[in-house]
Amino acid sequence: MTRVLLVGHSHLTCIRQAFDQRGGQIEGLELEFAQLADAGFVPNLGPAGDVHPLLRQLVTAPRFAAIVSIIGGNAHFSLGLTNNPRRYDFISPEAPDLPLEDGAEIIPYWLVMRHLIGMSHETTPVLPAIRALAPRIPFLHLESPPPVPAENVSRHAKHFAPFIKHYGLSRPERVLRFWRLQGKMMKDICDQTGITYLPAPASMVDAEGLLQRVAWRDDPTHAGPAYGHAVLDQLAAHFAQRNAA
Amino acid sequence: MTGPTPYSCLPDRAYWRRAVAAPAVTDVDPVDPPPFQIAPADLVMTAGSCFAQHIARYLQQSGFNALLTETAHPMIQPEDAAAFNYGTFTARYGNIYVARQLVQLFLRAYEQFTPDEDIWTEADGCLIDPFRPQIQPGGFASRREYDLDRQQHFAAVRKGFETLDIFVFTLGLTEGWVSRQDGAVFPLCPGVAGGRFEPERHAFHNFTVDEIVADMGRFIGLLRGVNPRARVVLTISPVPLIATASGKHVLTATTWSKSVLRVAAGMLEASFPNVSYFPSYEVILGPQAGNGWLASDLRSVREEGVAQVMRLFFRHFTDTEPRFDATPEPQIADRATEDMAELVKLVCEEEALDRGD
Repeated sequence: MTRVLLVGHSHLTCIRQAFDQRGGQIEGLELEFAQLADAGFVPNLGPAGDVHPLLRQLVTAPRFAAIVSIIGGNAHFSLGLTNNPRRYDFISPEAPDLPLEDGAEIIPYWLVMRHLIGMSHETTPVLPAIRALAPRIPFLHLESPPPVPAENVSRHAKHFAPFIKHYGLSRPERVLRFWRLQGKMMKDICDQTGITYLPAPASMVDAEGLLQRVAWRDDPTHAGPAYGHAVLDQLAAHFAQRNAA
Repeated sequence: MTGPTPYSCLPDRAYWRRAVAAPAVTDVDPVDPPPFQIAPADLVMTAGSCFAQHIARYLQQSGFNALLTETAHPMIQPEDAAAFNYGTFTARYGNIYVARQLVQLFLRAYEQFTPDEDIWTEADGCLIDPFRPQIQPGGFASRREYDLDRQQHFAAVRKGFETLDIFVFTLGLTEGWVSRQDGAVFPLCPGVAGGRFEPERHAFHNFTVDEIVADMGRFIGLLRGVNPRARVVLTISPVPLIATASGKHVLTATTWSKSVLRVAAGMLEASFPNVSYFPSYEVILGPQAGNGWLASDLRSVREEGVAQVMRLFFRHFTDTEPRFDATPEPQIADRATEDMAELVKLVCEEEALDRGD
């Protein structure tokens, strides 16, 4: 049995829900969850970048054989969901030919990246900070769920409805670009700190690269428990393979 | 007993002792009455070598209408915008050191010249614009970004030329690197900040007075072809060459270079209406200043020196006192992005605290 600590912010919830639906049983794994938005862990980092004492205690606990993170993962949504009064777009070097937002000014890719890094300053630095406390333990970071397609966003727009009405939803390719940019930002951190980056489960990604319908829920940005189940299967397979090796 | 001579009734400013040697350094004022004034509402476009950046900055800080046609999106933080050279000059053309580079910027912006060597691909795959190689950290991430950014940039350059009232150009160098294929002028030697130096493709050229006068004359003609009301202020950067490829000592090469530029500027002022030479070079490097306006590297101009130049600039070209301490007009914040970020944070907090039970 591999005892694994899962840490993260809002995207941790769907995994936790799936875990509960399974009665807390995952073959080969014992999971413990740490919701970093809980008051007990806030702020995750102090002014000098020091990890919250309780979180520090948890991630350095000897009972864990591995740590899995789904820290942050929604900075892209702030930028990508709707258009902006000064309409802009950028070109992803991984998919440079995807259609751009009509009439948008083009902002350099690396400038948008800098901006995204700045926007996620409260969450993203938590990942390398934790890694620094647990430098030798196997450490994984999960890609955040793919963007929710416009159909479901519109249906469950919630607080975002006035923005959508006012500025209009971005075209899906733009939403996808921001999600990929965020993935690149996190993967770069992982590559620099020896963390394994696990992409979103392939079964949860539709032909357009967006979230599969089965994982939709009543939320414009977060995935439902079906996504959590896919992640649990992914983790079980990963650790089974790792242990076998 | 001698009679009156042409020197008899000259003003103090005609005499070295009275105008240069005797006054305090801050009272030395070598500026001749300019042929035009700059009103606060006039749109001022700036370009040139690195010293031109100081002029642009002071214009912006002093409440003048520094023309900006290629601005960062308002969501971008000011330090990031500066790193990507938004706001350094009117548009993101970077430093323009030699006159022919300026002519070619105009021609490229109006699709009258497309250099053969129009893009450099670096070993890591990033793309560099040979004509503004340091315009953004990391270069361009894809060919499409490169092409679309250049389209935007050229549109901003055209808008600048077509809407400006005043064009302030700081002549910086005579030495340049030129394509042997088509004469395209690179602001930096290929290989310094991108690209690769190839002797069979790239040649050193030290521009002469005649060439600079011809290039600037051509530019002024082109500019007034799209904007007949354009008035031009020429300055010369007091910043010496950082290195010379002329084979001469860098000090004599610098003297040669600045002398050529000074003669060219004088000839242009004498030849074209509404072209004015402003002596920032003399203010900084005249003997009255000693090395007082220079930093310890004897190259960089100290802030006090720039302020002295700009005090004289405003005294002669405007009827207002410059407010050097005035903070630039704050950029209108991107409320939409900020509000959205706050909302996402709220929604994510709700989601994080949802146990699903």
